[in-house]
Amino acid sequence: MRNLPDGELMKLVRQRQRQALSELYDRYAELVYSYAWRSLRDEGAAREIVQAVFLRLWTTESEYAPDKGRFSSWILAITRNMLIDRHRRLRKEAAHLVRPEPEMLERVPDRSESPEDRAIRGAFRRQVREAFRHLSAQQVQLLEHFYWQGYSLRELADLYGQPLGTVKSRLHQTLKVLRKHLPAEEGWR
Amino acid sequence: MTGPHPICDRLLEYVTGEIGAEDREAFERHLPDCEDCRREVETLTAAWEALPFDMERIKPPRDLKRQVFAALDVLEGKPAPGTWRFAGRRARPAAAIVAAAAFLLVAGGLLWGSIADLFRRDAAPFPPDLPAAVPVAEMEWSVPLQPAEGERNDGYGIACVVRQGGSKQFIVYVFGARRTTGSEAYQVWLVSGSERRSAGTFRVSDERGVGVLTVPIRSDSFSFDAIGITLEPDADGSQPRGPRVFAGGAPPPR
Repeated sequence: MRNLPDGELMKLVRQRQRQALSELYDRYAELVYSYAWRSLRDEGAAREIVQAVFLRLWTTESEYAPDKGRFSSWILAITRNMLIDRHRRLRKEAAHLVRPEPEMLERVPDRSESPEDRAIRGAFRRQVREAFRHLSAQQVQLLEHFYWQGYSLRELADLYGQPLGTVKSRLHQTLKVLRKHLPAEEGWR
Repeated sequence: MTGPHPICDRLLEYVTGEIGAEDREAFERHLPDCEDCRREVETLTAAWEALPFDMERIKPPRDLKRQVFAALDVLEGKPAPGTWRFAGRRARPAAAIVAAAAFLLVAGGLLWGSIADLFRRDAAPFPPDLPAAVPVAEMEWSVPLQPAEGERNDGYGIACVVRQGGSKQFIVYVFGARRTTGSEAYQVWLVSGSERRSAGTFRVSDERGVGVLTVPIRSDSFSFDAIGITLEPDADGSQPRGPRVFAGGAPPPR
């Protein structure tokens, strides 16, 4: 199992081989957990998301297609989908558009780096964070809202009091600035 | 960002997954003919996929893997390993515990939603587009939940199995439950013969005391002899520690 590529493991998972799911867990639980924690800032909620994501791998009818991208992107898309659901439900329950607390925005992005960070995927992470320095505060906030908090473009148009087209342009521009400052070769899985 | 074709406008939604299945397919059909879009998709996707690197890597708690695989056991309708035995059907749960592994399970991260919401979401296939038409949900059976013996509360609930399209959910819904504070959580226990297993945990943050647990199930023979819900100091327990708050009997014979 250990030597099998992710796509092969996922095929085994579809054949109900728990060992394959266990191996995928060992490879990706940290990624999913960190991601959920980053979005929700809550351990209990992050645990629930991890569990939901790996159960989804077990039950999903959709195929992972290795030629369409990395497994990490695929599993993060599943994770983000669940996080968006959760964020939107929480907002719906609050019965009004909850504005993120300023204090939370100030914490984001947290650019401090642990030794472990550096050891694992230090170089690329540093470059991503370096690229973030080229963004304005509004652009960072836009990514925080859209990417991490799961606001839809339309919700953001309401939140910012801007036309939908403007929000789309801003997001498009933000991603372009980031891309411009990222290394051409991606040095990560 | 606007190209020569109206569909070019959907570029951003395509990259970020905010696009419906139909539009996604249309966009993909359009891609081979539009060099501008191809280039932009490549650019934006690279940036989009770099976004998760703006986070600290945190090791998940050690017991989380066990929790996930215990949840898988419930999902598959197997008695989880280490289920504990107790002496006699009428024994008080707290006295009956012998041993256990940890099985909490909060299926699909689906707590606190309306039931309709839960079905809709779970019926949705990945990728993140909701289907245009959601299959009708049908309840296969239900069991009423009442305050447990000696328990003073006005709460009530229901445990049921709902089928929707090809998927099935075991759902526990309580009303009028005391709100959980801090790490507290309600834990659902299923008793089958002399075995007992946890079906998962949920919290109640709602003023009306509404709590929901949903567990996707596969087995047609999913059943139990009795169901109990305890209020636990945290969601990490492998055996009941807190008081039993709600109780119910077996599902009707089928």
